[in-house]
Amino acid sequence: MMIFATTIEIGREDCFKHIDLPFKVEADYSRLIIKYSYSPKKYEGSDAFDLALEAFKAVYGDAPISESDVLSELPLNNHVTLSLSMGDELIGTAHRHANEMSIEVGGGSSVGFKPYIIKKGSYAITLSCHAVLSEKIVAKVEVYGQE
Amino acid sequence: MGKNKFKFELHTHTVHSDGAFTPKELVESAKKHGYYGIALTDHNTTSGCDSAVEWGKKLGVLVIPGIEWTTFYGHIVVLGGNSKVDWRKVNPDTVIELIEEARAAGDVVGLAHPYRVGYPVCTGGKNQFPKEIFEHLDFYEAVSGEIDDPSNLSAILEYNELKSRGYSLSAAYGRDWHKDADKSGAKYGATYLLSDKEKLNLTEAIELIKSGCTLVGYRDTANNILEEKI
Repeated sequence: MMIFATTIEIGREDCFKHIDLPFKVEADYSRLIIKYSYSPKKYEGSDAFDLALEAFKAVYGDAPISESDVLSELPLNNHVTLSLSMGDELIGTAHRHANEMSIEVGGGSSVGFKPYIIKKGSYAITLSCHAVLSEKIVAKVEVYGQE
Repeated sequence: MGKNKFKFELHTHTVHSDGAFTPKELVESAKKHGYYGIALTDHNTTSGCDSAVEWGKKLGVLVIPGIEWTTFYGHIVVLGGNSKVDWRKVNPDTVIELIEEARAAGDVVGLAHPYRVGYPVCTGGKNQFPKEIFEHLDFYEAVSGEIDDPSNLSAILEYNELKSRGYSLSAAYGRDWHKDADKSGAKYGATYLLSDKEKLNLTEAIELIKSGCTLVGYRDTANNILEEKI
């Protein structure tokens, strides 16, 4: 049964912010299924090379920077990770590069999440905006309860 | 400093974050590469630690449970598996308090790849936390990733400067090991823990890191690591 669904737009002003999406679990479930996707993943703006070059310059000191090193980092990626918590308890984080995933939380949770007995109460999904290069990212979250 | 050198890799990842290894595969690979021990430091999760520790016991590799707080402002590795800090709360205003919370719980805390190419290539890859954190850290990845990466020169320079100013930071190497397939020709180092003991347990390994009994091996020729003390 679907217990929460939302679609949000994330802009460059959200970069380096955590966006909380609270929801409630009001029935007995043995597991939660979270379906999460965001798009676009890749950033292919005309300034991508220059953005990457500046990042190299900031750490390479006087060492030469080859064009191939910079090109190897392209295309740049948007990166928005998902965490789940109940109250102050962090249940887990999906810190990976895929932009479409299905996460199970319960007795046998998906990687990144600890085994967790689902209780009724207030939960929150956090979208952490590690990299927002595109003008607009559309993120979709759905949470299903399974008995 | 200790007559015996125990070879460790203190910065690794599995499928529990963005690594390619399962915990079992990571431990098997560590065994194959001759590590006495590893620290599992998945990004923002400890969910793979129990499995890695169990495989370590089966295969004879000491596994230190840990986490890499992969924040927008820098990456911090926390080793020991005792603290329960929520990585989302770590920011320039809170970082010192949360480092101390982790240390008070019995963990050791280190700055990862301080000069990795940062945003937008790798968010937080370059450390942007306030300089005051150096008074509160136990160790510093003076060398990370491929040893010939030019960014290591900046990290070694900063480490030596911090030591000359009296900071009690242990030196560490962090491969940031995500997968088994090495880049062709790439050279990697290791962290050695120095002790008079014949074998180490988790508590002893943590204490050696905390007390500065480390050596960074970062010149690797044909897989023969030559140690250089930083």
